[in-house]
Amino acid sequence: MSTASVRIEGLTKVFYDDSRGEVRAVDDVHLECASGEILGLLGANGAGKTTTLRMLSTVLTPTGGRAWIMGHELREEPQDVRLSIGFYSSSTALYPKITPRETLRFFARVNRYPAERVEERVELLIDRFGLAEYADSRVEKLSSGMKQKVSIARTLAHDPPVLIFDEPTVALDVLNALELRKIIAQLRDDGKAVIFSTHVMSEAEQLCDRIAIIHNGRILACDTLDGLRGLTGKHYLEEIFVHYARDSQA
Amino acid sequence: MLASGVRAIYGLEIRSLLRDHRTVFISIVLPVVLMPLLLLVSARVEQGRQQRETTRHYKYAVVGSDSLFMLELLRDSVRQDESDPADSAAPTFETVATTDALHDLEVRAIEFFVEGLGPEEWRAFLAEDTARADELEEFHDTPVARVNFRSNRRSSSVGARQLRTRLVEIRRVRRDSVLVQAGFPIHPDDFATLDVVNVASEVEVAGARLGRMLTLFVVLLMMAGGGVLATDTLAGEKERGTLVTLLTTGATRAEIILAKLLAVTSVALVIVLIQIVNLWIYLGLGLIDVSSGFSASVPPATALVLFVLYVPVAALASGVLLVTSAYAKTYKEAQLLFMPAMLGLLLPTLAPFLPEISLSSAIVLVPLANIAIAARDILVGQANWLMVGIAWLVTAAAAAYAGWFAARALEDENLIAGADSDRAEFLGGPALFRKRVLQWFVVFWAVKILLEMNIGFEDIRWTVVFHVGVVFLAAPLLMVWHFKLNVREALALRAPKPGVWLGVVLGAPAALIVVTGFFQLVNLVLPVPREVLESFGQAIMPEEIPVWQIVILLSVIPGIVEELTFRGALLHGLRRRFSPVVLCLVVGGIFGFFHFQIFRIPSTALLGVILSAVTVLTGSIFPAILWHTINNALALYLGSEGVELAGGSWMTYTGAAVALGLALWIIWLNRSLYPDLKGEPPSRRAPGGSNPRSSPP
Amino acid sequence: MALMDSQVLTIYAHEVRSAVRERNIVIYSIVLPLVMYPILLWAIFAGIQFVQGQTERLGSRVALVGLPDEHGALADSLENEKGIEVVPWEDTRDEALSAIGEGRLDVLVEFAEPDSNGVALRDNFTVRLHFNETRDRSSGARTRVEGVLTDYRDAWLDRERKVLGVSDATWADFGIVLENVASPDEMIRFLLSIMIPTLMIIMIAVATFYPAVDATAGERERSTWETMMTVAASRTTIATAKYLYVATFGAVGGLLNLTALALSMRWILAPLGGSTEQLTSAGIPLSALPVIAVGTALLALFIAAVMLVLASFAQTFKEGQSMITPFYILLILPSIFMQDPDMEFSMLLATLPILNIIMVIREAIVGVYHVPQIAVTFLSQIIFVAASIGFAQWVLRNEEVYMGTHEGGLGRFLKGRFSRRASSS
Repeated sequence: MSTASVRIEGLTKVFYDDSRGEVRAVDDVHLECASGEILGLLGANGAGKTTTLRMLSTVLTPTGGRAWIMGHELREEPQDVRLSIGFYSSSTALYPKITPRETLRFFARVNRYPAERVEERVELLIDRFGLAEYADSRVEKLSSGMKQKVSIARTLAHDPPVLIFDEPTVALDVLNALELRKIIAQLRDDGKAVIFSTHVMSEAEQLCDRIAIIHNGRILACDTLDGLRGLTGKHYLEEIFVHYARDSQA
Repeated sequence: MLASGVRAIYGLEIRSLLRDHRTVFISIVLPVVLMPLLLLVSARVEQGRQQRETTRHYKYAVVGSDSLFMLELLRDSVRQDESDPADSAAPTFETVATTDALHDLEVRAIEFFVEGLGPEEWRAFLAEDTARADELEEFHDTPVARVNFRSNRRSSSVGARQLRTRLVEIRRVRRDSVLVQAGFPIHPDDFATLDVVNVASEVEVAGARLGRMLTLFVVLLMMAGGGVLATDTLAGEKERGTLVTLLTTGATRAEIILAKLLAVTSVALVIVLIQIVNLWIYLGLGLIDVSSGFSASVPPATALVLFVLYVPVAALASGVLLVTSAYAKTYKEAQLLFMPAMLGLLLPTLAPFLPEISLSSAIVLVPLANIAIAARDILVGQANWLMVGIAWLVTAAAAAYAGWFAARALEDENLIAGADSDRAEFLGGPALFRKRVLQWFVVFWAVKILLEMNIGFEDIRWTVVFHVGVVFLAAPLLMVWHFKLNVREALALRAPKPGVWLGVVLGAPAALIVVTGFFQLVNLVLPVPREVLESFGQAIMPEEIPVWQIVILLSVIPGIVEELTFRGALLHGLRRRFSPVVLCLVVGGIFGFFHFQIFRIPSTALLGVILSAVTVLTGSIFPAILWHTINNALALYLGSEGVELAGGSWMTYTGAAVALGLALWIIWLNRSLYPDLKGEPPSRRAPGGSNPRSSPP
Repeated sequence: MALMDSQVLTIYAHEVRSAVRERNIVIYSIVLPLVMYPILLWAIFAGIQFVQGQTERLGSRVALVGLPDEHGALADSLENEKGIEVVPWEDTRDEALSAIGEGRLDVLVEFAEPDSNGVALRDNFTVRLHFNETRDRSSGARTRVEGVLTDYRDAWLDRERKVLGVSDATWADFGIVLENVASPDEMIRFLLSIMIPTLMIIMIAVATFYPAVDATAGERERSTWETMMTVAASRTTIATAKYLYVATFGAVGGLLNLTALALSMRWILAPLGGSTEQLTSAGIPLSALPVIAVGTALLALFIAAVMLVLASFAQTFKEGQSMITPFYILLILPSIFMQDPDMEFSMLLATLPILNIIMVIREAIVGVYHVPQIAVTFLSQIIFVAASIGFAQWVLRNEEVYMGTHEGGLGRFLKGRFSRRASSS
């Protein structure tokens, strides 16, 4: 066993579609992510980022390959995988009728956080994310920026070692996005393994320890920014990305 | 550990519901206020109507050649009224002079009129109406009072009936006095007196009446109350996106479903409790005086037993609701599924209406139906507790199964991930046809019934051509056109292997006998009422129609068009949805339902299954067409020759079954399977979802 | 005229086109009204036949106790009656009664000596029939046995009167016959007129409901609302087009419902013994169609206006639904008062919205036209529709409502408006 918190080997997802036949949304993906590391999944819309992350979070079942999170295999121990991750995406909404405080409490409990320490954890997160002001008004009344913060906070409710964020900044304004990036960086410093997907080049440049470029379901390259620069001879990530994407088309 | 996750989700569900004030108001407060109000109002309206009817003043006329006699009779009756002024609950009658009674009746100047007919007039009248000849026997030499009324006016029909009752009473009194005058030794009232005694107490009778309705009523309340939460909880969550959130937490699928099931169940139970207490209060205060059925006095112990009895019912209702919610992609879709789910659940609760149904029979294995009967037995005070216990367990098991089924939906990626799998709708054409074919057939079925009831031609031949030929041909053609299907594929217009024809020629007569035997067998469970049986015997076609025309109309045309519809379009549309064996059963069953008469459904369905199997095995519609045609022609021929297949011995049926098996074996040997069936290799389905190939029948 | 505006027509056509592609709308507004009656009636009919078959199968187990020898013929006629099985009963009477209670026996017929008033007649007896009302089989047996007993008694009395020399004619006295002079067509119309009030309103409401929610909350949910707001059409135009579209679906649903019900009517009539072959029409006279169509349109226009106003406060489909539900229930309530088929169509009734239209439609079906009442009805309903449209415009003029940022439903909106006015004055 490798020491990596997340290890993906040949992960594949094939959809069958009446009109298009077989669609390989994710094709033989190999990746690793260690504790205290941010791995960025960079790709255009429809590249397979969301499908990969959904498989990692056990929402979708892989049709091929294997992956381990904290040593638990996706298909063999999905329950343990879920306990080890915090998953956030545009399709993971919050319950509208409860308050942020109740939300955090709920997710801590449902994720089996030790009952006697739940309150302590909730307070900690409220404090850390600056939610105190609206911690007791209902989620449905919050603005989208506030909701986003609560959403991120709730992924941390049970203090999971691995965090999976699917395009977390996509709907945020500049300031909120900046704040979120800070939080993600902080999580790395706390020793979490963070995998996040984005199609924003600057974000990947700033934040990621390593960047995986995904296109048409395949990983075209995975390295540090400098490593990628060395491999392609280009400086800007955008150029690097276009380089690989064109390459694969040809 | 299981408990903590369940508790957290349960708490979340209940809290979210309670904070949704509008939903709480609509699904709990409003019904609680409205239900008694509705009962109150409709009871009052009904009361008022009855009172008006019984105390009404009716204007009527007396006409006819024997009107003097009638007037005299009725004057007697009026005198009776006057002699008993205390009886204010009786209607009063007033004669009015008229020149055209029919007209006055039509313009409502009178409510009805009595026609005094002399014996000859009556005889002449009956001579025209042969169906009523038996009325002549007793009254061939007496005057007749004919009370003419209009059944399309309530006051007219009610008044006329009341007058008849009065006339019957007058006649009885007159006969009695005639007898006494002639020297009958006793008063006729004391002659062979008949007393009817009900051994059941009033409470038991009320219990039986209430017991019949109770489960239906309770399930209705449960569905109405639990429905709101259930639709919202899974389908709504998919729409809002909270389901994925929940699924990526450490709560297991079982925990999630269990918690939601508990939440919906408890809401359903609470609503039932509130409503029953509510009703009790209203009844107790005397605000509602509904029929005596509701006044059954239920002791607290019985009420407690009933409550325990209804716990698995609530769980089952909630489970079914959760299943619909889990398999719907959106809140709207869940709502669409709600109604069929509700009707499906209400149907078994009608079981206590079956005559002489006992819990100590197979019905104990039917969830809901068994509880409905158990509840009735308990209320009547004749419960067999062992059977009640079994019923409870069976229904609880069904509820657990429903929960498991809902949990399985949470594993289905297409259902969780939602919207992008609706490509068929977007693409249209054959892919959409597969999704819609059943709905089309439901509509087709209803339209077919409406047409059959309303369209007929002077010449019965045209009627048959229209209903059998045109309507059945139009359906597949419309589907082919609308969904842009390939005609040859959709209707399976392929040549089978030549050996198949031998099987068909051997199989069709054998199947006819087997199906007849099956009809007899079903008749044991599903007895045909006498009048329906008599209508079976009537010839469909008048005798003057030449035989060749009958054969064309009733065997060739149906053979072709019904096959094109069912083994053509329907089977084509469903081929990928069910495995071959289930496919044959489904297509056959639908074919059976198109024969409308409930007693014919099972046997025609069997024929349909056989024909579907032949089509699946040969990949062609033509053998089924020939088979169907031979079947109908043979049945017609035997019918005209007076040969009764129904009377056959078990030897005949066994022999026929063997011959049928042989025929199917011949077809199997010459098979060229229907293309693109479900589970057929090479599987084009997504791996993991592939079905083991089922063996053909 | 604003209604004829080409923009209105364009938007109207757009709405209708999207609606016929939306499954829920098609199902609730078109398919359901069409298929519901055939399916429901078939189910009822099949259920009745099924129960009938089951009931006929059950024989009646009858025990006779104390039957005088002179009346042995009675036992014979009981045994000859189809469905009756005379059970030899050796046990005690009490045992028989408990057997009836438990369902092992259906009826006990107990014969006894007559009391002092009746002894003067030779062979006279009294008979007591015990049955159990909680059991269908026993109740059915009671009916059968009672029939046989009555026949036996009548035949005996007939013999006695012959002995006494009472002639046949004197004995028969006079016949009584009920004659229904209404034709099957009239019967169908009558039944239709009873069923229409409830069903018509419900079906118009059901058919209006989805389009109304879809045209407002649904658009917001799909975020097409703002797209629509930015096209070069006035808000009145958009609202008018949407309103007409919703009302159209309501009217179509209502009329389809009426048609399907009329077409299914033969079924209801068949078990009533009416001969359906004499039917000339499907139930509704053609001459009534204009009145029915106008009435339906007015009903739909009114229901659509109210539903649109209510739903325009909703953010989501679900919310829209729960905002409309109370109105739904309110609509169904009046039909309870209309249960009486002999209700008079008074002038007062003609001024009451909804109820008056129902009366007009009901009377048109049976072929009665009270012209003044119809005029008052249509007038009052038009005023009512106009008032509800005016109200709708007043509500929708509010920007918060129009853009969907207003929180809460109509109730809160009105409260807000009036309290604001009160505080400013």
